[in-house]
Amino acid sequence: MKKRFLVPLLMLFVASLVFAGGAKESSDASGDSGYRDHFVAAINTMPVTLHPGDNDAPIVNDLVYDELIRYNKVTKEFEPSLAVKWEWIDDTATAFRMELRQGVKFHNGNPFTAEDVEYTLSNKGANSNVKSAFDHAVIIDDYTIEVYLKNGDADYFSKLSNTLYAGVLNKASVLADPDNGTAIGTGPWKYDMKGTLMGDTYKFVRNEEYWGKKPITKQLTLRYISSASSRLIALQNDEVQAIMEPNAADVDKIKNDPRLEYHSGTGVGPAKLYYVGFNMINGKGAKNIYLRQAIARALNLADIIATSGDLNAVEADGSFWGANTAFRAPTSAFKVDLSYNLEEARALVKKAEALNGGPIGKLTITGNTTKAINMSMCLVVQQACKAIGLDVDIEETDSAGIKAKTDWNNPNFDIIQYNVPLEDWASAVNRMFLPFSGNNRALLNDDYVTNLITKAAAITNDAERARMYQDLQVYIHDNAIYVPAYYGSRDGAQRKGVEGVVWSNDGYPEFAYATVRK
Amino acid sequence: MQFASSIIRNDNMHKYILRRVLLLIPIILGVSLLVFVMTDSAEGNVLQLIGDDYTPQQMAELMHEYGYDRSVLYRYGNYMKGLVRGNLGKSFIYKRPVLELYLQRLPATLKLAGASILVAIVLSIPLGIKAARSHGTLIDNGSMVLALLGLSMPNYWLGLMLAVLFSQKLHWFPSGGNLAGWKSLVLPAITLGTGLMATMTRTTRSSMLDVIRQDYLRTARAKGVPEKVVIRKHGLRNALIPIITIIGTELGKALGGAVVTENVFSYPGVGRLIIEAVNQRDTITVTGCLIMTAVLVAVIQLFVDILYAVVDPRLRAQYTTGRRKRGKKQQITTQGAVV
Repeated sequence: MKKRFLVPLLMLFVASLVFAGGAKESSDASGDSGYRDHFVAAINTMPVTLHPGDNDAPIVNDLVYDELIRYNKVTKEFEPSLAVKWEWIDDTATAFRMELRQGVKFHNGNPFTAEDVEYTLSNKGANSNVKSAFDHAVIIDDYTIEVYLKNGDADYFSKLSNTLYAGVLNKASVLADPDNGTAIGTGPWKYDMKGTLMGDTYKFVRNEEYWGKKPITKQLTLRYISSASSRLIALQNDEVQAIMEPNAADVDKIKNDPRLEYHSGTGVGPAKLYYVGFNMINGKGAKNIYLRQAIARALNLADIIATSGDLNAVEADGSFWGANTAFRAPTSAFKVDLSYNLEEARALVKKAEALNGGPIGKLTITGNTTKAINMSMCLVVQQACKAIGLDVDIEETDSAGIKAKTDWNNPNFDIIQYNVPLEDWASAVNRMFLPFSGNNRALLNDDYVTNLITKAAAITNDAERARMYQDLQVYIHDNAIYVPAYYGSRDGAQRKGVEGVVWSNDGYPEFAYATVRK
Repeated sequence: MQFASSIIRNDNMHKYILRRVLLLIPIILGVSLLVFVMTDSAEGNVLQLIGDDYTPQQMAELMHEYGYDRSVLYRYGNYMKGLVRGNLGKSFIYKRPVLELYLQRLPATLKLAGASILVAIVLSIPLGIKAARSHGTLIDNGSMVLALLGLSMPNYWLGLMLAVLFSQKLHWFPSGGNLAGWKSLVLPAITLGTGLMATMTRTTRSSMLDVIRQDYLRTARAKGVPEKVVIRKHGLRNALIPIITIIGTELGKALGGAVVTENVFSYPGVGRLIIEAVNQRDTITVTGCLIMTAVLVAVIQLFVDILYAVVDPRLRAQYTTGRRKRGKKQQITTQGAVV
């Protein structure tokens, strides 16, 4: 080969390496504080937009935005954040007044005022949880606002404590730049838009003007790494200092590695409830309570947990939401025994066949089987049904497919395996039991349930609310509409020397104050 | 390189380039239609993911807004109207223009494709030549076994093994991402390049074997030309056409097919963007990215065609003499003269 080809080829190779190279970005950069300047975490969820209320993966929200009211997961109490005082101004949970913190600035330097609160709760892209309830607001002055809701919502303050629902936006910046203006918050971290690549790398720099406690670390990077094995290798290699959700098979390896620490986040509350639901519109169990109860009694929850791969999963005890809410019904309140018993289950199948006027025929179960945790649960249900003489086909699909199969106008399944995120506040159950809600995969549209939930939401008397929610749980349990299987957990790992990561079990880990010693 | 510029300035070449550009139109139409129809045939759509909490009425309104209450061809027609105006659409999921998303990811993919092709060229051409020169010997068989291994090893397996060895054990390179400069590129480039190298080694070997038996090589040797010069100047030069063809094809594959490698190494390229968009049924993003990739591959093929003329005087003569007439067959002598 002539030199005139070889030389440009080699130059091209070298140039490409230089072009690809640039400055090495490392988490090793060190300041004088005894801590590294840069913290990198690997996440397994992918934020896709810059709007806090329009993000399926709001892990970045608590970094960039502040909530109006902070919920302390340990004390179960609300604490001031951007709002310093809040109170209902009626008895039907439809109007409240808020006093706002003064002297807070957004990342672009604009001052935070009541106008921003009104905009956050009502803007076009606002999360439906706050927007659907919001009616109007009256701005008393820059730091006092009254908010009026369309219907009573006693849990509205809880919603205001979640940055997904009400991460406070700067009205002026969003109106000036609708695409990027939503990236401006008041939180401890500012987006570094130059280094951020949506769907891959999210970079942040410390907000030096933050009104609250400032992070120690100067730079924070979240890397989306979908493969658990790759996340672990990156952690072992010190490319990242913390990872979300390692493989269950790798947990022992992490525990035995002197450089690493495993965190399960237990004791704070469950992350998700994994359940089996029955199609209540046109499934074979819709009008056959014995069939639903038979399958419920055939399920050995220990088998489901054993195959889930979730090492910290806890058997669901019949409640449908977080372990910490004051509104849970005790299991003694249930009138029907649906505990695991194959003999009873077989007897119920006979009753179901009698009600059906003949054999039940083939049933279908569906779930997002692209995830092993869901597929294994479908297989256990299939085997359990086989043990009581029921033939079940698994219809494999993905998340989009699930939504097609559970279309309210044309559902196409008998049994579904699904999960619902859990939160401490009572009306979180809306998403599982109210019609057209995203996690109501049993497609339950029951007037008794809807009325109970609506009434309970409009009462500020906690004792009365608790009674209503407990009635609701008993009804759902005894009718075997949903069979709760287990409370899933979230876990993670970090390198030794890492401080400040909150390994929360009922939400994403919090990296706002994450730092690592040199 | 002056050959190349004279070729590009030539009228015949202009016509040829225009023809190739026009050929892109049916390619774009075919690719986009295929993506629309195939995505539509899958269960569920992106609006069901977006409007998870919507009432049936709200969902019906959303479906109407985006034409999901009409046929797939209607939506396709709407998309093409935008495309004619240079608009690749706005991603349902990212809420950003697809072109912006694509251009953000393209540099990473280009770097990876370029580096992997370089890895493949640097390894495969000497290996292919050596194998051809040592035809039937242990070296030849060993080279072919190596090539076969490269072809047989799945990228996801090789990628993970390389990450375990060079990242986890030796700490030489990062296990993934694109944050450590050129070091981030090494393992993905080797992973992708190994597969490409295998095909290119086999092509180089067979092409060289064809050339090595030609009379003019024997003549050169008889004239006392050193063996190195015989191989490089007379052998390799004449064997380059199929090698360039395979490089062009493999580069196209690397640009469009680095999906697995990008996922193994969490490398933020176009392939990873497409996979995430497929998972979310984000038809607009998938279609836009595939159209852009098709255009890029077609441009590379065009470049490869121009490169043929640079290395082959016979083809260069076709373009520079301008004697080729439409519908009139030409005969090209081995000396490069057109008759």
